[in-house]
Order: sequence, then C-alpha cells, then structure tokens
Amino acid sequence: MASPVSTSAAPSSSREVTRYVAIAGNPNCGKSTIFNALTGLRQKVGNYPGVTVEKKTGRFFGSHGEAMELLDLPGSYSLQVRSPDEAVARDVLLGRQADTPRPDAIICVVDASNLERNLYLVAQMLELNIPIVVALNMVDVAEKNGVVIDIMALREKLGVPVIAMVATKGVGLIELRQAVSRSPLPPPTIWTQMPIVLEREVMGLARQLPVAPDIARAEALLLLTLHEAALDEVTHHDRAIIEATKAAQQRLGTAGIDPISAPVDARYDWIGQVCAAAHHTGDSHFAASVSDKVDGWLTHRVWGWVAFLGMMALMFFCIFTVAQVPMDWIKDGSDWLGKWVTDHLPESDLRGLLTDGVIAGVGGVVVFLPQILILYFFLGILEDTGYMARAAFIMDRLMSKAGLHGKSFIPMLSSFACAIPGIMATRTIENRKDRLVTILVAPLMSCSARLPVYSLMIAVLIPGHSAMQKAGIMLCMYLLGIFVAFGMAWVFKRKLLKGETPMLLLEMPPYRMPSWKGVALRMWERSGLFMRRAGTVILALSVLLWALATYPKPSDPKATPSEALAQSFAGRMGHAIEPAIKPLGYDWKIGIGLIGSFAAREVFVGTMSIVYSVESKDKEDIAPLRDTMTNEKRNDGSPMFTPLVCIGLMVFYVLAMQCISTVAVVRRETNSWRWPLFQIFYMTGLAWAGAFIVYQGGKLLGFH
Amino acid sequence: MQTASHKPTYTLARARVGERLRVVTICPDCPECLRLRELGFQDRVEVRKVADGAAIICSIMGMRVAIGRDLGEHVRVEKIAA
Repeated sequence: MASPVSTSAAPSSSREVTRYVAIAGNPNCGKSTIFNALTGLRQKVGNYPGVTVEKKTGRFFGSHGEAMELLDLPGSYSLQVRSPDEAVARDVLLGRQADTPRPDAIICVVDASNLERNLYLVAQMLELNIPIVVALNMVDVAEKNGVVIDIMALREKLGVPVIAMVATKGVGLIELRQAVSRSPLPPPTIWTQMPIVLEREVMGLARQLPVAPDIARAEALLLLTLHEAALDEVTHHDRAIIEATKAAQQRLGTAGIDPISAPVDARYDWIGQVCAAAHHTGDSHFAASVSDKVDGWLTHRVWGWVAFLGMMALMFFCIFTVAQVPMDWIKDGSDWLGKWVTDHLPESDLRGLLTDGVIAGVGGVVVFLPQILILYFFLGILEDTGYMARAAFIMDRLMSKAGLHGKSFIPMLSSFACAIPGIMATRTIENRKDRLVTILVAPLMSCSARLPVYSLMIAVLIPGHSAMQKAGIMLCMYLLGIFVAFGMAWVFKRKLLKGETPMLLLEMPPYRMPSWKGVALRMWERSGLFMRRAGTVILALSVLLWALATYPKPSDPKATPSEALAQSFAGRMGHAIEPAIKPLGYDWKIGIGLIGSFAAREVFVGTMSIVYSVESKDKEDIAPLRDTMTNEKRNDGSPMFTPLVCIGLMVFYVLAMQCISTVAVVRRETNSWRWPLFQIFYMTGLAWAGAFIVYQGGKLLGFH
Repeated sequence: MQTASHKPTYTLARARVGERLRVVTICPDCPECLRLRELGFQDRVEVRKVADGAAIICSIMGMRVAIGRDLGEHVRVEKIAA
C-alpha cells in the first residue's frame, strides 16, 4: 500500500522566508510534535526511536508574522553519526546538503525527563556556531519523576534561551515562537573546553580544512573522533586532510590523550557542571519503577513471547469480530448499488462495466476497510505505548541467529502496516549490509494489503467456523511471514551480504498512554489513503481487468459466459500461465487473479470478483464472492477451492512481492534496480515453492 | 580485575538483574562503545540492570537502553551497596 512518506509540502505562502530553522534533538524527544504544532502539519509521531528518518519541511510564522522555513530533522544522539538517518541531521547542520541551506537557527529539543543524556547533543550543537533555542520538552513527565529543573540556571549555564514545554498540550509554544522570532538571534557564546593539547590539535586541523571558518572547529573535532576505518571512508575531504587527521591522532596518543573518547569525556564533565547547577533529582530513578516491572514481564524470555503472540491473536480476533458489522454494511451498500444500476440501465457494455468492473472490483476491496482500520488501531497503540522497542528486544535472540540484531525488527514490525514506511525505517540501521538485508526481507512481513486476500481465503476455507479459528489461521500467516523473513535474512547474511553481526544498542522508550487523538488521526489518514487508492489504482485496474475479461466478445452469440471469459484477453493470459501454476492446484481463472494483482496484491480480491461476476449466469443474483468461490468446480466436477488450494494461495501471498510501490521505494533506497529486481525474483520463486509444497506435499499426505 | 576501592568488578553482561552498579571502564576500541559513552556510560556513572536475556536492558540516567550481551561484555562494572 502507498504510504505518506514523501517530504511534506509547505503550505503555500507568498511571503518570503526570513529564516531557516532546524528542529534537532535525540530520537523520541518530541521534535515532530513541536514541528506539527508550529506548522499545523501532520507529520507522523510515535513512541519509538526512528519515526522520522528523513528531513521534513514546513512553514510557520514568527510572533510578528515573519515567514520561516522549518526543517524537522531525524533524531540523533550525536553528530558522530552511526546510521543514514543521523547522517541527514549532521549534514544539514554542517551545511553539507546541497539542496538545503545551512540553518539560521536550531530549535534543539531536549527531553527534560532525561536531561543529562540529551545535553550531550546540545553540547555538540553549541560548537556549531549557529544560534540555538533549547526547547525543554516534557517538563510534566520530569516533574512526575521527581526531577526539578531550574530554567534560569540552565539558561545561564548554556548561554542560550531555554523554553519549558509540554508540546503535546501546546504549553510553551508561544514562548518558543517568540524566542525563535527574536532578531538578531546571537550565536552561542559558551561551549565545551577540550583539554589544551586536544584543543591545539583541533585548531591546527581546523585551519587546514576547506570549510567556512565558523564550522571549521566542529568539523575538525568530528574528524579527530573518527576511528581509523571510518576515517578511510571519509569522502568529503581529500586524502591530505585524512593523513593530517591521522597524524594529529597519533600525536595525541603519544601525549596520553585518546582523541576518540576525550571529547566525549570533556562534554560530560561540562554537562555534570550544568546539571549540578540546574538539575535536581532524587534517588528515585534508581529504584525499580512500574515500567521496570512491566519490562520484566514483556521482555521475559518466555512471558515476552506469550505477550507478543497474545497481542497478535487479540488483534486478529478483533479483526474478525468487531469488523464484521461494518463490513456487512459496506457489502450491503455495494450490492444495493449494483442492483440499482442493473435495474436502471439497459443491458449493455456500460452496465457490465459499472456492475462487474467498477462495483465488483472496487467494492470487493473497499469492503475490507474496517479490518484495515482495526489493524491500524492496534499498530497505533503498539507504537504509542512504547511496545515496538520491547518487541524488537524479545526478537533479538532470533534475529541474532539470522545475523541481524533486534533493531532490524522495528522496520519489520512497521511493515505489518505497509512495507514502504518499514523500508524507510531501515535508515536507522547503522550497517549498510544489514540495512540491505532488512530491506530485502521486510516485504515478507504481512502488510495490510494482504489482509483482504487472507480474509477472503479464510472465509472460503472455513466459512462456518468461529472468529477464534479464523484469527488463528490469520496469526499463522503472519508468523509464517516473520519466520521466512528470518530464514531469508540468515541465507542472505551467509551467502550474499556476509558480515559480522553488529552489537545491539537500542534506547527503550518509556511506557506511555497512547494518544487516542494520534491513533484516530493515523486511522483517518490511512483510511483516506486506502480510499484514494481504491478510487485510483484499484478502480483503473478493475476497469482494465473488466475490459480484458470482456473483450474480445465471442463470435458465437450462444457461447456461455464461461466460454466467453475463456477466450477473452484475460482468459488467454490465464491460460498462458496455467502450465506454471497447475502444479500449485490453480486453474487459469486464479491465474488471472495472480496476474491482475502483480502491481497491488489486494487487487486479487477485486479480480476474483470481476472474473466471477463476468462469468455469472444470473445477473440478478449477487451471491457473495465467498459462496461463488466455494461452489466453483474443476472440469472433473471436484471443488476448485479445496483446503490445500486456499492455504496454498495464502502462502503464495505471504511470500510474493506483488507490490509495485514497494519496488519503487526499494529502487530509491538502494539507488539501483539490481536489488528490487532480485527481490521480485526471489520472492516470486519463494511464493511458488511455498504454494507447491503446500499443495503437492498435502496431497502426498492424503489431504485434498 | 580490581579497582582502587578493591571491590570486585565484572562485566555488565554478567551482573544480576536488579543490581545497582557503577561503571568502572568501557572498552575504548569499538564504535559501539563510543556510542555507549555518548549515551552516558561514563566511568563512575551508576547503572541498574533491568532485564536479562539474549540482550540486556539497563537503566542509566533515567533512561533505559537495550544492549547486546556481547556489547555488555565490553562494560566493566562494580556493585554499589544497596
């Protein structure tokens, strides 16, 4: 499914931008919430690190109406970056990004409940020579945790404006707007003093750098704190600079100073002084909190899995029970519309197009909207509460066996909604090969577009069974995707993208109550996207498939609808691929569904609706697709959709790529056609093999 | 390994869940350890182990960090009296 991943457009305004302001800070400290509050945009927020992986822009107005451009940067712990998303933040702040001007000011967002750690990035920002306003966010959480922050003392120690904020409630927003609007906004006057020997080397190197004098010191410090291997990979400076850096590192080593850890230690010494004056905390944060107790259960090696599987089972149970009523409404509405068109239009191609093409094709997919909304409701809660990082933690054992670490599981979990944001979220992964492996396996996670296919096939497979049994089968399909993704990651890490398993390092966000407004907003946005897609891509494909299933018309006017379909373009295509899919137990009509859903997997349901509507003898009888498929027979009179065929089809859709939007994003993220083409090839092969094993293996074991 | 305070030291990976600990040393060589330092794993800083499994969760400066057991072997700690 498509996803709102593109850079947000700024609201149109004829006023000239007077200032470029970047929002920077640690992951999960509320940057996007402040961005949304200032710009009025709806950038996604969530309670886990890595929600924003690329810079977003929006426009806001200062306290005197002056227009300013706001850049929401991905979260970063340090300017000494470790992942592609952190590199975006560093490059913008250092003016290395050709398409983005160096910011005139930075809003440095700081989590007040975690001041010391957040001040590390502030310390680095102060070295950049750009005016800074510190947005001290979540002061309410800090107070609740027994943390007292003296704002005046903090302002004095940092030498920059500090605004106390609760961004989710809009507290401090006016003051922040005023502070950023101030003119002139002076650059920082206080920054960390490095040990004298180190400072001397930094300044010596800074003089050699071909960069603006105001950022030369910061650039030199970043170079000096790189390991040798990382230095050799630097491409934005010439070889002479790299050699000069290595020589400086060697001299520092001889003088007994570790150039890599000394700046970190110096900054934390300075942070210690700042906190001693402005930050007062009791000993409470060392006592076991409620969060710790919850973590004890949710990350337990046994109970953690029970909780994970239990939550998934509950989600699928609700998908099959709660969604049923609104699904029936949509189905009734779609049937009524089809009947109304049939009653009011004479029999013609136009009537066929509207009833068999548009209403059957689009209606067949739209009916699953309630199930998709429930999926997003649960995923929204998991994201907001902070559970995503816990799931990544319990998966670390399995992931490490595959050669990845648990952090790779967060993009995979995001792919439950849609593979596109999942693939974007791989930008938080430090290691290039691990990122590529995660991109290659992320589409194996069952996205929301697979939901209609699973629901339809489960309905055909066990029509009269309980919601619990249906949810169980759905859960099995999701788990199959997860385990095959692990298996393929294992293969890729050993054969294709060999490399060391990286060491896990992941911040666990605090547990928070979900923002019901945020969850509702995301459900609204996703339903809008789904409906837009239904009204564009799925509508266009439905019309095309109807035309392919209707033309050319048979020369014999007495031909049965089935014979007419067989000799149509779609029928011919289905027959053409029949030899390849016959071993899977499929006939040419299912073949039409497979071809029709190549660009978007949910179109399979619409295609089946069109195929069976076009073929229907009695246009007055609008039987549910499920019943039509259940009654479908092979030439020998045996049922077409046997349990093995139904399960095989579900397995096929668990493993097949069938999403052109994902292909486009993989192309963009890997900057090559090689990987998306490889992905289509391996996933299609895997899907065929999976369905083959189910069908032929099942028959060998005596099933049908 | 012994510190000046003569308290026994061990790695964070081997510490018990719930123990209140103090960081003694961190390996200086690997990039992950630099990030650990940047996250506040400084010498003498207090840390508490919250959960243990294939990876470790520890509480430091009011935040929780999950780190792999292998990375936990790079951090030496000593127990602080309760």
